[in-house]
Order: sequence, then C-alpha cells, then structure tokens
Amino acid sequence: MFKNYILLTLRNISRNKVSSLIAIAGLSLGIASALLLYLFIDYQISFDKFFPGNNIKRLIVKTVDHDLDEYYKKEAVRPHTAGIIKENVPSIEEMSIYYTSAGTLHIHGENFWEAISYVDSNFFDIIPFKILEGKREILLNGINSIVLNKEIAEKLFPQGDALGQTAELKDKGNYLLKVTGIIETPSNSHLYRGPQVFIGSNILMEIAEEPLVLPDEWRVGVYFIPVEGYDEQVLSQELKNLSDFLPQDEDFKSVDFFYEDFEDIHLFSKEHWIEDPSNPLIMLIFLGILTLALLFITIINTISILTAQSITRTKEVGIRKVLGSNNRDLIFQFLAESIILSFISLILALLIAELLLPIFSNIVLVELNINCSLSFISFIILLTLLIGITSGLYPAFYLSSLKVVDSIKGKNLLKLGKFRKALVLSLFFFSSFFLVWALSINNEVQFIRNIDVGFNKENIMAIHGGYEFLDESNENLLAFKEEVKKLTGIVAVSFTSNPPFCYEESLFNQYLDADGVTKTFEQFVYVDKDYFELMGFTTDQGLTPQNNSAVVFESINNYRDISIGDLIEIDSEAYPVDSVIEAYYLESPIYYISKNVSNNLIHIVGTKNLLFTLIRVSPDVDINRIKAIWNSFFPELPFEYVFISDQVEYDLSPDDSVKTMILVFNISVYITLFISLLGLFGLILHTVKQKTKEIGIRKVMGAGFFSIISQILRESLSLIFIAAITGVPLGVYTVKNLLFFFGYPVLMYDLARISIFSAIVIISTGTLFIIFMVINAARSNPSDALRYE
Amino acid sequence: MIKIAGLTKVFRTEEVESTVLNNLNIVIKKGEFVSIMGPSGCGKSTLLNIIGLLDTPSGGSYLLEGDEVASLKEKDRIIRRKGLIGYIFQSFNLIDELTVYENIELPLIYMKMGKKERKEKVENIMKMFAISNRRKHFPQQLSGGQQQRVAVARAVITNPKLILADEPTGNLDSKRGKIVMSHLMKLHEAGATIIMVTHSPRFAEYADRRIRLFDGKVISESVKEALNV
Repeated sequence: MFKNYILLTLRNISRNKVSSLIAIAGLSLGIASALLLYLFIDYQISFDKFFPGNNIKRLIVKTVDHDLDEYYKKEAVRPHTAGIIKENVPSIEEMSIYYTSAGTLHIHGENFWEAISYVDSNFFDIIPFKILEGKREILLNGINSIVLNKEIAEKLFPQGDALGQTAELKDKGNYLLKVTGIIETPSNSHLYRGPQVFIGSNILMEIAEEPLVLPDEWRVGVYFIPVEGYDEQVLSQELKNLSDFLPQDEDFKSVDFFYEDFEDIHLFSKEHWIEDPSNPLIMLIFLGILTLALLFITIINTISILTAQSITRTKEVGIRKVLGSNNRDLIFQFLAESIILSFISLILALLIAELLLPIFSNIVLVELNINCSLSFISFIILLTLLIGITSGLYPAFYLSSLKVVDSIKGKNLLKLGKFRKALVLSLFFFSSFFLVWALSINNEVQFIRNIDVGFNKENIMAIHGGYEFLDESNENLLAFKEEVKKLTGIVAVSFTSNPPFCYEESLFNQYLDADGVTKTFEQFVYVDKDYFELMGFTTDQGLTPQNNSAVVFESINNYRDISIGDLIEIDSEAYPVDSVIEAYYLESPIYYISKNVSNNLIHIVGTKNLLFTLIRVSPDVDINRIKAIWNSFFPELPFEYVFISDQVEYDLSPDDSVKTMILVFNISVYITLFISLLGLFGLILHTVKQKTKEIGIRKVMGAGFFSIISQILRESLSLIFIAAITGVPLGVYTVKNLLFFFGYPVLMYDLARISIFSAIVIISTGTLFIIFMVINAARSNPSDALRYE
Repeated sequence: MIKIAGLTKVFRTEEVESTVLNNLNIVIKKGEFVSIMGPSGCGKSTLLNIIGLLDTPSGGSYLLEGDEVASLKEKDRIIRRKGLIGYIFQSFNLIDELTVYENIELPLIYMKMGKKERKEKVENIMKMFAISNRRKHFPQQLSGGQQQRVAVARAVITNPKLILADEPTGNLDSKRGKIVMSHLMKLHEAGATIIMVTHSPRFAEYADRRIRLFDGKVISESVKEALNV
C-alpha cells in the first residue's frame, strides 16, 4: 500500500510539475532553515552536559542594595571568606573558588595578555575536564603550577611541548609557574573562555592582599559537590544561614545564598538578566519562536499548494469513493502523499542545510555540524512527519468529506478557493509583520551607530598600563609622556583612569555636595591636565585645569547647582570645580538615550589612578616607535593598545549574540517573504489556469489586455492589500513593545516611514509578481484559451 | 432486487427548488437488464445515483435486496455498495494517475483482498476484455473504446450483483459501443442485474425492459418480448 502511495505521489508531482516544485522548494527551504536553527538550539541545550551523572553545583548570591534593587551574581563571596563556607555548610563535600580575569604571561621573552582562571587545587576533581596531558592528582597541587587548555597550549607553545615548561605571571609580583597539565575545555561549557589558563588560588590570595583598584567589586565564584546522600532542603537552609557567618557587607541591605545545578547554569542561571539580549535562554526562545514561525509559514504555503492541487483531484476522490473507498482510506492516502512530499523535500533540505552550514556557523560564531545523532535523526523525522501531516490534513479532510456525486462533477469547490485565499493572505500578513520588524531593527542599529559621542574619536590610541600607573609619584609616566611627545605624528598625550568606550565598569563614587552634608553618587573619571586638550575640548576661558581640581559636565546643573569654585569632596579630599564643559559620552550612550537618563560626569584632574595612556596621533604615525619607547620605560608591561574609534564602533554595534540574532532574523524574514511569494505564485498559477477559459471568452467579447490584467490584479491584490494593512500595524505595535528584547531602546523616529515602506514593499512585490504571471494568459490567443478546456 | 416507491429528489439552491424525481415507482427483479431512457434533465442519472447509493433521495422508499436503504448514512452506504454494485460511466472516470492494471485493481484493494488473489483476478479480467497488453498504460494513452473497456472491467471485477451503467456508450462510436454492449450482455447472461441509462434506442434494445422517464416520472415501460412481437 505504501509503495502505491509513493508511486501516486511521484505521478502527482509529475502531473503538477510547477505547483509541486513550488511546494517542494518552499518545504525544502523551510525545513533547511529549521534544521540549521535546530542545530544551533541543540548546541545551546548541549551546554555543560558532558559530565553525565555529575552533582556539581555553583553558588549564587542574591544581593539587595540600598535602593532595594535585587541582583543575582555568580561572584558570590570575597576570596578570603570562601573558606568560611566550607566550615559552615556541612552538606558541602568539596568546593573550589573560581575567578577569571586577565593578566600578563611572560614566556620565552614575549608577553601575552591572556584570560586567567584562579581555582583551588581540587578544582579539576570537582569539574572533571578531560586531561590531555599530565596527571589529574598533581594538576594544581604544586604551589606554582599552571594548567593550560588545548587552545592556549597551542598558542603559547606552538612546538607542542607545553607540559613541563614555565611561564611567568606578571601581576603584583612575578610568579614562575610550571605547566603541569593540558586539559580540554569544551566550547559548549559556560566555563569556556577560549584560550585560557588555570592558576592556583593561592596566588590569587597573595595578589588580593595588595590594595586593588576596585576592591568592592571583587568577588569570586564557588563550585562545589555536596556530600553523598545530601538533603536538598538541608543544603538550601545551610546556604541561607551562611550570611550570618560571613562578614557584613556594607554595600548591601541583604545577602542570600542559593545554589544552581551545573547543567542548568548556561540557560537557566538566575544571574541572567531577563532583558539581556545575550541571555542564552532569551536567544533560545527567540530562535525557537523564529523556527516555529518559519515552519508555520512553510506549512501554510504547502497547504495552499496541496489545496490547489486537490481542486484537480476531486474527480479522483469521487471515483475512489464509487469504487469502495471510505473516508478513512482517502484521508490516509492524502496524508501519506503529503508526508512523502515532505520527505522528498527533506532530502533536498539536508543538501541545502549542508551547503549553508559553513555560512550559518560563521553567523552564529559556533562550529556546527550535521551529525547522525539519535536526537538529530529523531528531530528531522518527527519534523518532517509533522509538516507532512499538518500540511495534508486540511486537503485530506476536505476532499474526503465531499459528496460522491459532487466530487465526480467537480462541484462545491467554492469553499476551497476561499480557504486558499485565506492562506495566501496569512502568508503575506506574516511577511508584512516580519518585514516591519526587520526594518525597525536595522533602523535602530543604524541610528545607534550614528550617534554623536560628543568628542573627536578619531586617531586616539589607548594603551593599558599596569598597576604601577596607580602610583602618583611615578615620574616614569611624565618622562614617558615627554618622550612620546617628541615623536613625529603625535598630537597630544594624556593619562586617564577610564578611556572613552574602553572600560566596562565606570567609576561611581559618592561625594559630598557643596553644603558639606548631602552625599551623592556620581560617575567619576580620573584624568591628567592634558586630557581636555587631547579630547578637543575648550571653553570660552580656555580649559587648563590645575591638578586636584574638578571639571564637570554642564548637564549636572540640570538637577544640581554646581558652580565654578564649589568644592566636591571624595574620600576626604576636596576638589574645587575648575570648569564646566559640554557633555560627551564616556561609554555607550544607549542606556542614557533609551532611559532618558542624564549623562553626568565629574573629572578629577590630577595624578591618581591613571591606568591608561591616551595618545592622539596623526594617521601617518609610526606606532612601532611608540612601542619602542613604551618597552624602554615599561619593559614588564605588554604594549597592548586599542583605537578609541574602534571601541566606539564596537560599543555602538550590537553584541555578537545580538548581531547573530539580527542577522538570523533578517535572513528568516527574507525566507518568509520568498515562501510567501511561492504561495502567491501557487495561487496565481491556479487562478490563471482556472480562468484561462474565462479570459478567452472575455477576449472574444471584446475585453482588452489591461482590463484582463486589472481584473485578476483586483482579486489577488486585494488579498495582499488586506495583509499589508493588518500585518504592518501589528508589526509596529509589537516592535514598540518588544524590541527591548534585542537590547535596543525603542527609538521610534522612523516608525511611520518604516510602516509605509513595508506596506509599499509588500504590495509592490505582490503586484509585480502577479503582473508577471498573468501577462502571458492575458496575451494569449482567445482560441487557444477556449480550446484549453 | 430493487423496489422503489414514491421516490422524490429535490435540488434546492438559494433561489430555486427543482424536483428532479417526482413520486417515482420502479421494481427491478434480480438478473433483469433494464434500460432507462428519456430527454436530458429528466432525472435518469439522478435515479441511477440513488439506485447506486451514491446519492440519497429527498423522500420515498428504496428497498435494495429487501432492505430499506433510502436513509442510510454515507458510511453505511459505502459498506453496502462495496462489492455489490459496479458502476460504468459515460466519461469512463478512470483515475489518470493510475495505470490500467491499477485502475482495475482499485476496488479489490478497497475490499482488502490479498495481493496474490488480486493479481489473479485482474489478469483474468484483463484477458477477458482484451486489454492485457495495455496493463502499464495510463488512461490518457488509451483510445475511448479501450478506456471504456477498462472502466467496464473495473466495474465488474468484484462480481457485483448489480451493474449500473450511465450512458456507457455515449462517448463511443457505434462499433466500439457494440463491443461494450456485448460485454454487458455477457455479464447479464452470467446473472448480473444491469440498469443502463442511455440515449440510444438501438443500445436500449439490448435490455429486457425499457423505462422512459419524463420530468422525473415514469411515462412508459416496454419489455423486449413485446417489442419483438
């Protein structure tokens, strides 16, 4: 029987070549898109699943600050207090701290700025990463051991002889470390940081004893394994009590501890902020919805074409019924045919997916492979079955329900025609809806990229200094500055704590207002005297602030009265306001613009906390000469620099994950539009076929070319018009309310333009398409048209 | 075999109501060959559809083999007609996507007959109708006469007790029409009850009895013997 179904399907395809090819093309494209999205979703779901049966947990802390804002953070405790946890939570068997930062490694005379994870010596017992070289028992047991992951081992020791070699960590002190192991950190692990080294936490403790730039921000994560047979409630209660044993934290009103299962961290960690576009769960939901939408559109298109084909098959249904077929037989037959059609499309879809996989991998920044895993095969089979069944369901039930006499005579098909129109209408409705979304998102991205940052961002280099830059008495800095100034192509040199668009954390501090009583939190940056010249600011009186003075944005006066000469007190030191300047952006303006928050900044001019060197250069500067001077002054520090303009570009561009989402979304929108056009193609094809005789008769009666075109246009175009005027407003409404999921503020400056443009695109595409399709029928010889039937 | 009493069929549209069969009474005995004649629109095909359980009457009684079938549901009508009734249409009504062999085999598949038995029966009947050499052809590759032979073969493959033929020779020239009629006569001689709607007085003469319809009513009946006298 099944063989018969296959045979029938193939014959039906051959008989209705064009419409079958449209159905197959739409299905293949839809299934291929769904497959690619599935691969990425599957990759996201696969995170941290490589230790089956593990019992690893991560500590997570909920803090409530004095403004009653709640935050969940994986950086749970200060490093020195981590030991208290073990003592006071008996349900914990083993635990290790985990802290990742970046640092300089000195190897064979070269400096490398790399991601460094500080962990306890038992970390690899808790998180059993696969060991490629070395022995698990001794990985971090030595006082000065270093463990490399495969990527960094290949980078630092390209000869492949990393094990047993030494690397020097340059931080607050110099630590000579011996490579005791090379491990594999899977890329689908939340702990993966690309090339990455692991160093014992004993070194972290030594570094932490020194004063730090941001000691309040400095907390570490904790991974642990509970004792065997632990009670979840008891563990939770012990963690809840933990804050009683830990030193009081003045930053927070309350601190509560929880735990998360290792496998849940990537997608379900409480740490993820719901509105954060890089939240993998949000991304997953977004891609899931997109996959479903694409499949939905594919199915609608297939239903539309199968329904069109079924109009020509009503007679067959009648005959089959006369010959003894019952409704169930017919439903099975038509469902089987649509399922077989889906499986034929699946083969094509696999080919398309395989071809597009490298491009898609590039977009999503993950190496994806089509593998023959059970889950993948099950997915494609179930998906294809589902598409086949849902696509065939309506035609199958409709045809089987026809009365025998009616179906033999081809009567009662009016309802079917209306249903097809409704399907095409819904296809274009979704196209309009998605088009508004795609245009709005692209418009927002473009708008943000063009925001004026308030200073001339071109040709400014920012070089990261070391902690010695904190030392205000370091004469080396001034000497270095003077030496650089002597080079040709140098416009200005300055030092700052926070170069524009370079530092993730802004300096927030409290200061005492002029009344000496009111404490206010404000954003600070430490700069030297030459900073303002370098940035290109001037005032009417010139801008030459002295050391130990303050320069403020004039926008601060919007809600606080600060005049020149007023004292600003920070950490018991008073700084008189020297100048007031126009506001510029020190960091991404997205937050300020979207939330309509005042952009305030206080510059403390002096010699403190100057972590970065800023150099404005002319385009013909020889950077190697700057590097040579740097190396002669600071031989211990790597010469790592960025251009501020690149940083601005980076900050004003979406995050990689958001970029991915936008790109995937844009592609999906065009696929949707394409599938919709296929649906329209199917509808027009059938309409023209049905109307060939009518066109012939009309021509005989004297109808002209344009009257025939306009008659068909009227019928089909009204559908597209209705789709556009409903889909576009709904798109606009949802964009207004949901765009924040992309991490973008809703800056609806161009929404009206987008609406009109979307409607025009949809209607004109449809019109051109219809004209193209009916032009032949309208031109045909009337006798041919009449002979057709 | 068939007893129809007071049968009516009314077609209703939004504006018009037309009575196609009006208080019709017919009795057809088992093994009889009856032809139904009449002008276009007199209700011949409608009557045949109702007799063949393809349509339901608006009123009246229809006893088929002693059972009242006038008000049977679609599902029950399918069960009832399966294997009992064979249909031959003027326009052949072969399925374009199926070969000659598959078209003839189709009723047997719906009767859930085994593959081996099906094959044997189809081969025999194809031989009988001299279409074995066309087994792999599709309907559009056959002449009208060949198509009608396939349609007749398909109609009789289940050995139906009742064969309904709606203008079986309507699309054929007289030579091919005669061939089809000779096949029907053979089936009749083998004991099948045949009801044939036709416009052709010549082919109507093959029947034992001729019924004339006009405006949904029987206006005359004549039997073969009487004609011969």
